[in-house]
Amino acid sequence: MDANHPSQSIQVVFNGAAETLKGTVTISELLILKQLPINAIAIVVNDEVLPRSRWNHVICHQYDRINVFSAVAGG
Amino acid sequence: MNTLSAKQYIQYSRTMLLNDIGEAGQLAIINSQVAIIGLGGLGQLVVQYLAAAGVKQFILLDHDVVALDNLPRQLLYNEADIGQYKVTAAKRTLRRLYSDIYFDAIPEMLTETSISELSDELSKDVLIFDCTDNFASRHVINQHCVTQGLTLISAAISAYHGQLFCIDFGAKITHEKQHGCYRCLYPLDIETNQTCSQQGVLGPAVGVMASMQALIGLQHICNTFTQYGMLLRFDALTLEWHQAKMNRDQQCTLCQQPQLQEYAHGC
Repeated sequence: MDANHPSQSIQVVFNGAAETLKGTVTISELLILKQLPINAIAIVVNDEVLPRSRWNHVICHQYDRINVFSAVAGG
Repeated sequence: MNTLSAKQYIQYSRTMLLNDIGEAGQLAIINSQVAIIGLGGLGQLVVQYLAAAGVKQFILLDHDVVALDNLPRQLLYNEADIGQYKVTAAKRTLRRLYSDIYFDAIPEMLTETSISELSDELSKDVLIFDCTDNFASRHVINQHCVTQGLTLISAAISAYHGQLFCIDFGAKITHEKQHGCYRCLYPLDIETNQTCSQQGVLGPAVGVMASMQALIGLQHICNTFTQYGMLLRFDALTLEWHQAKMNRDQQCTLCQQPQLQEYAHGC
């Protein structure tokens, strides 16, 4: 979990769109930035589900592909 | 059943032409037991596909009744069924088509209590299809499958978003293949208004997800399925599929995965 330098920018792909993040940003911080409801989504990083208990601890890295899966329950 | 009748050879010939299924796979389908929980948009199609494919023993569980606004996507029912339990209407219609199939129709609400009372029926060798329409039921089903070591095929859809996965909780799995469970994906406090009644849905989109459930079920029964622990997401607007490997939440208190411990100790 290497932190980026505060002035360093990284490029990620968030829901299919390129995004520039400055400094060290955790998944939780990214979701706050995007104003997403944490108890209504799943997060997929580089094609793997990242359990919610890890969101505070995992930092976004250069070229990460981050996707939000909205929780659905209908049938 | 150990052998197929002459009629069954003809009836299921297209299935058996698939090299990796053959007669052995068709016999596995015929000898399988399936529980479909939720007989709405998903479940009513899953049961039709599996019955047509040759499954002979079904448990159908749903406390809901047929309503007029179900009919555009729940093709097993018609206006004459309105007000009747879905499991009763489904059983009656399907028995007309397949007189040799056993349907145990249970018109009960799914709760932790009711599912524990059904533990004899929903036990080993019964393939579980989660076709319900709410998170509470999905968590109850997940808990039962994890604790009983069952295989769960779960699908959900609301508006244009469908999701689907299959996990075999009875399999001995290696450390690298910890899939987790539904609670690892969506913790118990999951909260959203993403249901069909609130968000709307198109009938064929529900049909896509139900068809995938039935397809995975037949593949699992025939031992041709390989994508356990893979979450599939369907965007019914762009027609795109995404997939993601499910991972166990190390803090999940449910899926301690005794099979995993057993496997680790056995090595």
